Amino acid sequence: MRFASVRAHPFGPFRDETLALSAGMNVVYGPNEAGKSTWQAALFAGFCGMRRGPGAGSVTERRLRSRHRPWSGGSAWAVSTLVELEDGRRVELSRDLADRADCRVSDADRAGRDYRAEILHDGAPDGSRWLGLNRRSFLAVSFVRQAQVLGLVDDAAALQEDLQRAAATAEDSETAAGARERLTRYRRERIGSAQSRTRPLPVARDEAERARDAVERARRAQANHRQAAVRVERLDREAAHWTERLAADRAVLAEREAAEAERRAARAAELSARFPDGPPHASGTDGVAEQVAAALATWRARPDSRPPSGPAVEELERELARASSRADGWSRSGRRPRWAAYVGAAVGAAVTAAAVALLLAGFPLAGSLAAGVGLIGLIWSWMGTRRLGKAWSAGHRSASEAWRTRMLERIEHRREMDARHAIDVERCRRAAEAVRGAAARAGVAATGPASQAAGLAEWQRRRRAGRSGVGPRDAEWNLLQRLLGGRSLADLEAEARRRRAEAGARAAEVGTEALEAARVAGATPERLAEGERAAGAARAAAATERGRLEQLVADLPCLVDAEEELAAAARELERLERLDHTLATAIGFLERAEERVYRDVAPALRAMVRDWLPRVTGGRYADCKVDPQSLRVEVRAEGGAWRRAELLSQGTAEQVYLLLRLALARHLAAPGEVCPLILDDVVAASDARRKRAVLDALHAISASAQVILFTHEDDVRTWARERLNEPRDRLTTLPPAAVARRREGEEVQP
Amino acid sequence: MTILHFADLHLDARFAWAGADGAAARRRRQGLREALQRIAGLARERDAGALLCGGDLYEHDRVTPDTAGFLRRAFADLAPLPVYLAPGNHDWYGPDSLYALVDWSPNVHVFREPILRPVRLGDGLTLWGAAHCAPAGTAGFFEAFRARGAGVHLALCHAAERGWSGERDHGRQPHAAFDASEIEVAGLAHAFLGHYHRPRDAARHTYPGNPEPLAFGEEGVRGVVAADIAPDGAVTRTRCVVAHTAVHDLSLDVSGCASREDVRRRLGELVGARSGVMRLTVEGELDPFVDLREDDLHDALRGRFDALQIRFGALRAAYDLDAIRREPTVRGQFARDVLAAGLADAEARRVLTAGLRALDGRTDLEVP
Repeated sequence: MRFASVRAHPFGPFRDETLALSAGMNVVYGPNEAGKSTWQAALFAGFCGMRRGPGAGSVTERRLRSRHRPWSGGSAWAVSTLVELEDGRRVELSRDLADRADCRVSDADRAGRDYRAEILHDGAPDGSRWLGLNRRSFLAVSFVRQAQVLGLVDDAAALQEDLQRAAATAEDSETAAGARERLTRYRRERIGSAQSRTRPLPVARDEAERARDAVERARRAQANHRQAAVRVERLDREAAHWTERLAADRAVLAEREAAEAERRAARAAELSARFPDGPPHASGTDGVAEQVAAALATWRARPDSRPPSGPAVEELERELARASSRADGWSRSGRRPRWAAYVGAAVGAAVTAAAVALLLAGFPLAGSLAAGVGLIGLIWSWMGTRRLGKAWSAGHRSASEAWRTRMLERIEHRREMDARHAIDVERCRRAAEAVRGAAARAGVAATGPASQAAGLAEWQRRRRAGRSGVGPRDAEWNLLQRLLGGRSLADLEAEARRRRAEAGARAAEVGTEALEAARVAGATPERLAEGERAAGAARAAAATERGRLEQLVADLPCLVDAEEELAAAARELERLERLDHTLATAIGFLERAEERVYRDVAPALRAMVRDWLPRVTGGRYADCKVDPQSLRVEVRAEGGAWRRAELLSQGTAEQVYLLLRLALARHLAAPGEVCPLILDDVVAASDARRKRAVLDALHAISASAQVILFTHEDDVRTWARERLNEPRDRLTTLPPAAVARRREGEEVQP
Repeated sequence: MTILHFADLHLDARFAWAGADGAAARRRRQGLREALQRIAGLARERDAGALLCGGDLYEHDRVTPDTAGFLRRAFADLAPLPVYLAPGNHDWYGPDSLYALVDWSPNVHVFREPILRPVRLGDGLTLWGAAHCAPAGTAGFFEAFRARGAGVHLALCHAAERGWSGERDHGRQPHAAFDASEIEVAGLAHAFLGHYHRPRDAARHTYPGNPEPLAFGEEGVRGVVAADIAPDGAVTRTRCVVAHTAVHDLSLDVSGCASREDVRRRLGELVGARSGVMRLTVEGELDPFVDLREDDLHDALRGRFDALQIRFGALRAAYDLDAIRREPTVRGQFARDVLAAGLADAEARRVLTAGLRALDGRTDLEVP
């Protein structure tokens, strides 16, 4: 492919101007501000265009817009390029750059042929697609800037790196090694390794492990909790069972007692009805027997008349009064422990006295020192004991209050015991009185109530033995009296009713089944005691287990929270592992691709450079080799030693570099197409001899690829006038300050 | 008589499926409780004769003492309205289940056996209920069952209808499986069921569907069924929605977006004023220069949803791979090799994009 012409309709400072180009070597000469950069931009924009789509676009596109929009004349911005393809087609690409949708790619010779679809890229026709390139790679492959050539001088590795970069993407971005390094660094930082425990992947693994443990713990805790709840439920049930059995037994006992009370009341009523006029005819002896029986009953029911043990009320009150007085005294005087004051004062006084003695004895220094120490001791003692006293007083007050409360309680308790004792003494006195009266009447001769009671019991026994033939009415009367037990018949009946009501209430609280079971089992006091013990034990066990359960509940971790934390940790771990795998895979593929491409490109570069090297170096170097591992280039003279290209003289290095660029352009371009080289002042820094050598090399190269060299140097123009051959070559001279003058409708003349 | 029927509330369920954890998941679980409160409110409002739950009221393994207290109170507050609970495979009845351990109020009746047992609902109306007593392996309730006695017989249980492809048991034995015809043969006028989350109003049985969302892609009017039972056993059903949480399943096409901001803008337009729970599937051709990560999308929607799940569907990096693979460069070779390696689509996309970005000199090498 070669450019035939480029026309700026309005483009930058130009309006309707055309730069015509030949198929061989073109030198476009113009001083600064003549528009050389504008024409380079027009070539690129006309041939490749700009991507269509949202967003700000690439840096190149933004730069193109900011620098090369028409300076005046409204919003129109258009450029057209006429190119000739290797297949013989001549195609005109006309672009309205202001409206990126408007672009025609038409055959210059055959009307109606449109090639837009052939070269669409990123939404807009891109001529570099014919070359197998794209906008970015065409810029990198076809355009050679002055800085790139100058870079060979400053950086010995630039040549090799440039080749690697071009081999990597055909663009001016990153070498394959650089890309791999970038991926490796990213992996190191974002993933880490097994050795670096603080990096994301090991941390995520630890987190996931921790979360898994937490889930396990939560599951175990939940299971423990459920088991504990089941245990509590079982113990509650057990306690309820024993409680119900106990209640049933009590109800049955109450029923039995009610029945007994009713029977007793009924019998008493029956007997009472037989004695409407009181007791049966009573002989004197019978009256004595009754008195004896009553006296003995009273005597036997007498309470213990021993006085309560311990200090009497008066003693306790005296002790309380003494203690209160002591406490009040301390409280009023703010008194502190005297021993502290006395000891402090004594020590202070002793030291002070010693000081006086020393002074008098003629030891002023020691005396003064001792006096000072003594005074300090006295002051310290006074202040210290004051503080101690306060603390002691506060503690003492608190203890004293507690002691006083306890004493008052003891006094109250003692008073109650004394009152109860007085009642008991009175009852004993009455019992003794009754025994004494009965003994006198029955003729029992004894002294003292205990002996008299024993005598009466013996009298009663003898009398019963002697009176076995007592009458039935007497027996009934006696039975009635035993049933009444000193109470009235109405009392007995009331008690029977009360017991019946109580039994009913107890039965109502118990389930029928339990009540029936208790009736069948027969409620005995032993059974009742067993029930009480078992119910108490079951309740206690249930309470203990409930306490444990409550503790478990308080510490119960939330399983679902733990599971969700595990899910989150697992997601993060999965993300990192996926990223790790992706990066490792990409690095591996890149490594293999790099090896493969270097292996392919190295022979192509070598072949091209070998063909041209003798010609462009004037026969100085004849052979070349390219390392397929690194694309390092070495050259040698016929039979000479191999020398690394970047270490050759600057002129030769530049020549080799241009050859390599041409070779790469060939290699990267689609088969059958040739990529033109567009060079921007690439020889500006060379001396005259080297410059001519490079220009000669370029001229030689232009035999196989179009070369367009923009320059501001007079000696290059002179060289061009001498060496270029029209019509295959062309020298174009841009008018000076064309940018400023902005001529219209004028074709640039060679 | 009107009865209110619900099932499959799944209290204390996990919400990792929705991309929720921590506070968001707790909010979702609170949402489930609130749904039960709304069901209770509905029962009062409609003056229902009974409230039935067809199982999976909660999740046995995850249920908390707090949930036990909540349930006890919620049902006790309904007294004297009778509440009938038929444990399912997720809340199976056992000695350590809430059903056994909670001291339920007298208006609550828990079916405790894996065979249908009767309770009297009203004059001539009998409800037969059964429980799952294990998390799996429960036999069908209806096959060998015959309702006894006069009047209308209803059933309440957690059971999977065979042959209804609404949901599958993922290769496991179905839980208490039955054929629809078994219900009539058993002499039941209607069966109120739980298990399938998808609602179903069959001639003689009803699946109410889960009251609150539990997964993406749930369709159909679901929640609570108010059933009027006529004296002849005819059932008239009205569906009531109690869910307050909206679930959205949206796709974001990022084709043509030139920057992260473009994606966020498009996402904003797509989501609008929605709230609740959302699953977002990112797809389309993403400009290779756009550095888009999952975190960016989460950031853009932060605080908007109770739960948000982001996944990457048919997302392609808009590299011109056809052109790249033709290049005689390392890049071309790399693309060719990756595409020919037989990697899974998503993996190939990630590897390609990471490698191409590295060759472009970019630092955003993590590909979603």
